[in-house]
Amino acid sequence: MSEPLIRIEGVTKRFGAFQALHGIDIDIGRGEFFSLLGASGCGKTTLLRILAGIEEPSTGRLLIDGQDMVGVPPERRPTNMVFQSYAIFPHLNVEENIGYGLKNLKLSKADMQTRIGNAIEMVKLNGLDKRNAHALSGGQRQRVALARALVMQPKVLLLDEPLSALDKKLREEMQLELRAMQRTLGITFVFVTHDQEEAMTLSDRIAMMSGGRIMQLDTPKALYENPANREVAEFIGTMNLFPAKVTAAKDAVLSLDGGLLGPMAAPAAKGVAMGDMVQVAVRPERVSIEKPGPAGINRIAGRVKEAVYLGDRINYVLAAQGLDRPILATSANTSGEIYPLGTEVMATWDTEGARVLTS
Amino acid sequence: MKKGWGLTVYAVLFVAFVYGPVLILPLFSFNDNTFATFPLTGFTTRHYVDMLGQRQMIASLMNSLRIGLAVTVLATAIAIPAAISITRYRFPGKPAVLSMLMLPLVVPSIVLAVALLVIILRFLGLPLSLWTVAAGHVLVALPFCVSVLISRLEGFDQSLEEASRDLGCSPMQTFRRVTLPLAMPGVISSLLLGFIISFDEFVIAFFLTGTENTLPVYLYSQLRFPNKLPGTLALGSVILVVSTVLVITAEVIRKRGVQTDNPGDY
Repeated sequence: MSEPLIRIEGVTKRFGAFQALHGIDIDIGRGEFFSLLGASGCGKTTLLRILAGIEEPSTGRLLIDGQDMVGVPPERRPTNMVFQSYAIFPHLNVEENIGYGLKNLKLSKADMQTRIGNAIEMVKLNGLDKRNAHALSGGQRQRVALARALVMQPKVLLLDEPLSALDKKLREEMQLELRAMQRTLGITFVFVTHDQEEAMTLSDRIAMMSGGRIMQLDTPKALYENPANREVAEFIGTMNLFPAKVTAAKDAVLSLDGGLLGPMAAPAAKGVAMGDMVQVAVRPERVSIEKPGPAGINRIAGRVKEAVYLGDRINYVLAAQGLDRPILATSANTSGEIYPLGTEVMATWDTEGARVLTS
Repeated sequence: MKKGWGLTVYAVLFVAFVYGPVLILPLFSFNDNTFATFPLTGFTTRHYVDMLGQRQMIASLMNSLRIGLAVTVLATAIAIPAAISITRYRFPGKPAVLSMLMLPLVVPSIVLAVALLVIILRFLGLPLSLWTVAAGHVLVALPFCVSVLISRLEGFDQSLEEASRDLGCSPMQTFRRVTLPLAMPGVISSLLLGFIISFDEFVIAFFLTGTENTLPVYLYSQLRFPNKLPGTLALGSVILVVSTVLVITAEVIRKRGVQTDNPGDY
């Protein structure tokens, strides 16, 4: 990556006795769509507010475009934010809300009108210029908040769960619009969300956070295909986890003993040695269901507990001996055939589809 | 028999108990008799004409109005920063500060009056005047003004102020462009409340005034002269009407503020 636009170095944040962030290091590139993903309380919003200058880090450095931002108040930062509650000024109309920040820029009246007009156009609020804030729908309020921030032409746009209050259809529509807008404008977006699907849809890269730490920072594909640990694996999509002991490591392939689950094999992973207790992780779509057959490597016998027919695919829930949790398997519906409830079947997967997780 | 008739009787009695004595005032003020007794003897407006002729009474009314105005402006001006710091900032000992702000509410005014008298005469060596009354009234009005403003400032989304900062406004600009306009219904309530508290106050005014009187102190001193009573009744009626209108106005403004505030509730 060339010189990053945002550099977060060893940032910590403490609220009284509570440590909200532990030593966060992130570089975010110019024009990147970057997401902070995690469950509530993971510190993602705190980190966003530190970028905005609403909160100051307890320790650590923050650079935006090479400038040290620590101690710089929000009004003097090249960032603008879309708040989760939208924070539309209730005493102002649409136009006044969008023009709120422009008033400080000492623009000519004509310039100001042009910029407000363009912003209204961009978020498709044409004709609502004079509408009062309290007469707007949720989706319209969200658009006003977006226009109000973008009209300031920030280097970084910060978005705090901006779509979480919208219904599913509107949310999906806005996701596409946001992504298109970000590509056209070339502005760096930092997006906070707890919705892994939303993060996957939108982001160039995602920092998955938990307990004030970054669990993994990667592209959506890498997060899904190569999760760093159990927490990431289970937060992003669903994951089958089989406990096993490493018995041999040869030619980049690990041999494992799953006890009652039988022998398994998986690609070698960093820091895994003979004798380690690990989890073999397999995505449901990597698991195929077969008629009962002989035992073998990566083969677990189970019984169909639930079969959910979804048209294009079938979701199976299997009970297996030696496992507390059921095995989940998603089969593409190629034959129109379903294994009925109670059927004895065999769950199998390819060695390349498995991952070994140590924590 | 309909259910809940007991409650209806209770409600009627309650209203009669609260408003009955107050309504006696306008009733006798139109009665053509020097003494406030039943039976009523006839309709007249002469007490109102008399009232206008009582120069001392009008003078004390003006004193009360002036003090009330000064007190409420001062108390509200002091209460605004206090309410902002209570609702917007984290600082050590906040609960203690809040209860100290509210303390004058529970200190009996007679105690407060004596304490203030001692301080003003002994320690400050100031002469008693309408100004010392006003100072005492600011003290009494302050907790009311602060609590009205606190509830107002707590009532709106604080991210509005953060958004204003984010969009380039300094803390002062944010106060002027967001906080104050949104707190305005609270500020108006605070102004009305402060005024009424001062206008109505007797004990502190009685202790701390010099040669000039406020209206309550004047009225009390006139109770010895029965022929002055009808004029007093007339004035009382006028004040009753004016303060009712003020209180209703304040409530309407407050309600309207609450309605327009939360457009986010969809």
